[in-house]
Amino acid sequence: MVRCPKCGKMNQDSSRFCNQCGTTLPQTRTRCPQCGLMNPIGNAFCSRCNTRLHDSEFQLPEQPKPPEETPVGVKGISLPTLPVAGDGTLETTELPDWLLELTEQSLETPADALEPTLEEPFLDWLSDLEDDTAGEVAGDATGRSTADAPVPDGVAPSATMPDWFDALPEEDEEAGAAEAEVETPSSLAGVDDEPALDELPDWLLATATPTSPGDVPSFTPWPEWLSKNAEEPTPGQEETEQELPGWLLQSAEAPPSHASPAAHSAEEDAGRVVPLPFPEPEEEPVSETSAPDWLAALYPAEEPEPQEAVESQAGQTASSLPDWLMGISEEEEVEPQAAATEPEAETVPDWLMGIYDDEEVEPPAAATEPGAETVPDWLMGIYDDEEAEPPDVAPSTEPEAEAVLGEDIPDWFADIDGKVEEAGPLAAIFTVEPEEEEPALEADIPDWLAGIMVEEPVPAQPQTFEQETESGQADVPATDDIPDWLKGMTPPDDEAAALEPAQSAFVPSETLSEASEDEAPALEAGEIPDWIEGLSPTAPGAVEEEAAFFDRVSGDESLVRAEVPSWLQGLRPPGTGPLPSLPEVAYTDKDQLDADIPLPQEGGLVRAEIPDWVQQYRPSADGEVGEESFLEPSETDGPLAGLRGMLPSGPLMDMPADFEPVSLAAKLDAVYPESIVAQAQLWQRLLEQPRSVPRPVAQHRVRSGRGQQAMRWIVAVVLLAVTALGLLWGEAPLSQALSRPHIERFSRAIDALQTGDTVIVAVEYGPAEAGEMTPLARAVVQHLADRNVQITMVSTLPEGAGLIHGLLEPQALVNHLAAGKAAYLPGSSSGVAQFLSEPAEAKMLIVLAGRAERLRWWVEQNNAQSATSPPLPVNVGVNAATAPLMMPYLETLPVVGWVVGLPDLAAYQEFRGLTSGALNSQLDALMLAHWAALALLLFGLFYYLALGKKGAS
Amino acid sequence: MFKRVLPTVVAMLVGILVLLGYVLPVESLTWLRDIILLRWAMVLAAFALFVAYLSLLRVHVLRLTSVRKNKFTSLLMILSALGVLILVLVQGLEGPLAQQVLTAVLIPGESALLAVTAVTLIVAGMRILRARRTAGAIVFVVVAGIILLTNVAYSVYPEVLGILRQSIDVLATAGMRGLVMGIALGVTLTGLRILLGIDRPHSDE
Repeated sequence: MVRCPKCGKMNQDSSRFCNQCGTTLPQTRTRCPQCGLMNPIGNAFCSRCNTRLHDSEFQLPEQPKPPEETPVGVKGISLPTLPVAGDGTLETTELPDWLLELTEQSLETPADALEPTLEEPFLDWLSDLEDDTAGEVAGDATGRSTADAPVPDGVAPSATMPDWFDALPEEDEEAGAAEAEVETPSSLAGVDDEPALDELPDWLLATATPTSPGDVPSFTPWPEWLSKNAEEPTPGQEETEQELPGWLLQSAEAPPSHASPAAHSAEEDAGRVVPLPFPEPEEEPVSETSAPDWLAALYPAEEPEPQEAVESQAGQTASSLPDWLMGISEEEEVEPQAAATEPEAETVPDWLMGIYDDEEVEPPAAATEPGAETVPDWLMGIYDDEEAEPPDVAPSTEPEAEAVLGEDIPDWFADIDGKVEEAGPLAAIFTVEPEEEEPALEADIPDWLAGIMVEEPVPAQPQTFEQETESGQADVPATDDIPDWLKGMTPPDDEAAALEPAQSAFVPSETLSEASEDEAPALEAGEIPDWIEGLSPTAPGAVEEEAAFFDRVSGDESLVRAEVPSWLQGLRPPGTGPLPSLPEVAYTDKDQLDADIPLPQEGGLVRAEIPDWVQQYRPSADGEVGEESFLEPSETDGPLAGLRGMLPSGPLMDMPADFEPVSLAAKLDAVYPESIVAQAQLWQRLLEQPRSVPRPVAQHRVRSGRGQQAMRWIVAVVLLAVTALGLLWGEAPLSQALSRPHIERFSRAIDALQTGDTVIVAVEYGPAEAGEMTPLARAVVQHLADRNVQITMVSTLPEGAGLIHGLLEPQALVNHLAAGKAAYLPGSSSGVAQFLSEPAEAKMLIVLAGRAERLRWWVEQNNAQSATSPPLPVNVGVNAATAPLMMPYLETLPVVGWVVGLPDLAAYQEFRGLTSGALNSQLDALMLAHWAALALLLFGLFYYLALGKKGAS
Repeated sequence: MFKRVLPTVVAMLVGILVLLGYVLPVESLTWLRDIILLRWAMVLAAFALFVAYLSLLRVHVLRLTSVRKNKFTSLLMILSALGVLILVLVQGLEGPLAQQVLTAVLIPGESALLAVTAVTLIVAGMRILRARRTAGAIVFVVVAGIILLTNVAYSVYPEVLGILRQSIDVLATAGMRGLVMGIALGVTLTGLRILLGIDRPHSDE
């Protein structure tokens, strides 16, 4: 079946035009020129008669190659599966540029620097948290204040930490001294060096931009309510305004039973909580080498304190982390100042209330309690694959979390650490749990980050968070349950109310709500959550540990699967299904962009607005067809949809034998004249005829023009008239016979014969020459009879035998004919040679030839008998047409004499003293006919010379 | 083998023997050439003529059975061939009916065709300058005119015409000598190629 490129209707393979719209269809078969069988277009030879269908240089159109699957990488990893080189480093053949840069920088760093330095890029924006917190420093994994934390290169120490990060509680300073080995996934092996500031991604640089002079730089992408006190970003960083990854933002959806991200509407986005709220940046940056305790707690196996674990990751720069990870720091516009001013807000800000409820919801009161025993619902979802009851899990891990992270760590963070302890340092990060419902999503998002996001929908909890919020049954965490660092991100009420509908933020899951009920350890200002600090890749060569970590984490039900951003979907490992398509988000309001309102995000990316001048070139399948002709249909599918004049996919082939043309009179008349249409239809009918039936061949007759026919009639009439005149001329003869030597020799040779001699007479002329040769033959035979010789008459022509008897009509001549000597000689020259070889008593050979070859045979064979016997003397009698051709033979021996045509016959007769009136009349008629022919030739010569070229043509 | 090799071998052998018979004055070779080989050739030629006659009849009979045009001419051909064969077999060549057919049908018919050729040649000669406006065309017409003029001597000035005709004859003879020599050389070369087996017109190749 052939699909119409215009209307998409399926037509038969033999159809040349679409049955619906009449568009010319690309041919899929080739007609055999020999037998007419329709063969597939790919066949080089006919299936029936093995006739070559195409030239040797013909090549089939290349079939589109199937998309190559990505190489199998680490099983279950959500991040792009990167091949590992032999030395355990990454193969940078397919890495994105930003990652390559990070890799290169990480390779250049010494071994000590291979330690995870996760906190360093985070320190940039996390350090801002210190400025706005109440003296509390988020610190790094070592617990040192951000002011003491080493500042990354190119980044001002006091201007790198976000305000909200500063609001984090201080870590234990002692924990930051040790650097524990942190499991680093192989994908991030070697990517631990802090890149230069200019090498950081734009979105990350934006986070490091100081927003206010003298203050910790705020992140420009933060929403205004989040970065209330943020200063204007530096010019260089203004460009880096980017939104939070979609997977991070989508965590703001309803926790346990939230729908897929694609189903979210704009209204649903309003219910989303802002992304991970970052406290206002602190003035003092976080230490470079130490990771926050809360982050270090992610790796309890390698270090006694989670801070150490986190600190071990401090060696790795934040830039070594993929963007999605680092994007955690780049959320919507944050107001670090606002967060700093309210590090320990007792009440949940309105904007935060939006996390739990679109309507006014009182903020959780437990957010200020530093030692919250419960993990927030939205964070508990990190561990819960099947969305088990977070409260069931949180309490068990709380004590451990508190013990590890300290009292300042929110409970919801603490629970995370407890879960990760067993799994490993990076188990929380690179957890891939086989999700029943959406395995692809879960496999792509690390567990530690998945906890930030909303949990996948679980049958046990069909209701989405939004539904719950709408119904008012959502487990809105109490104010106390909200961590301090989250509290610090409280925007002004008015701004929060205005931005709520457009905000896309994380919606805390039920775990968050449940955890908020417990005493969640509140982070001090500037304190980096442990779960963030733990976002450091493991050391290289820890593939096995990573896999083990994955296995442990995969079984953890409390982990929440995050949604893979769109830019990450293409890098999913093989075996995972494609992610649902992102909903289209069209920007129709430019003011929305101008107002720095958080734009709708999809998969972590903001859909850009196509300029109008580009929109003009958008091909449309539903475009106008008025100007389109049936010869140039527009493509309806594929990447060329909407374009016209595209060549068909296959070469046009001949029509099949069983093709029945569709009436295209209406369409063809509009384009082609009737004559062309008729010719085309004639061709179609001719090609439809099967080859088995012999086609009638037109009888082509070459007819001369009327002028030429008239001329022929004229010439014929003239010649007839002149001939008749000559024959009827009764007066004195007009012609004259001229005696020549060869005629005399001819006559004298016959006169020399004696009585009883045998003469061989070869009659070698046919009925056509009989009119001219018969009088000569009769005269010669008569002459021989007068000499009383025996005549042996032979002929190599079948009709010659009959002519011989006509020459012997007179009974007297018959008596002279030798018995049995009037015969037909077959075999052409061989017969002549055989005849001459027989011993004979012939004295002379007389050849009466009307054709040159016959005469040659006799002359040549007669000369060939010289070996055995001398050749016979030869007399030759020829017609006027043969004489010029045989003149070389006539002038050689042993030819004695010859007589040519009627003029020499007349002379021969006159030489013998014989006259004949009939012969004179014939001679006159011949002369007059010759003169008439000459006159006609001269007339034509002068006539066409006078006319010239144009007149002649 | 019998279609490709044997005919070639026979042709080569016979040709060498006949040639040797003409070159070497050996009686056995002469006897072999004249008695054996030439008679065999005459018999085969006669038989080939008879086979050609039968093939002609067969072709025209098939035309009668096929769905084609011109069936009347094929029928006429078959009837005439069979009729003359029967007539000659019965009366012989000297029989009156056979002679009547020869003198009343064959000779006038072929003579008429030759006469039409003459008219066609004259008309073509008249239009020669329309087709080709070259000097050769003019020379052709002039020479043709001289021959036509001097073929039959005019009684008024026969000497002038005689001289003119002899000059034309000399030129014609010279040209023909060259052609004949070329024909002779070609025949000789072809014979050698057949004798040496280079050309194999008799084999089925």
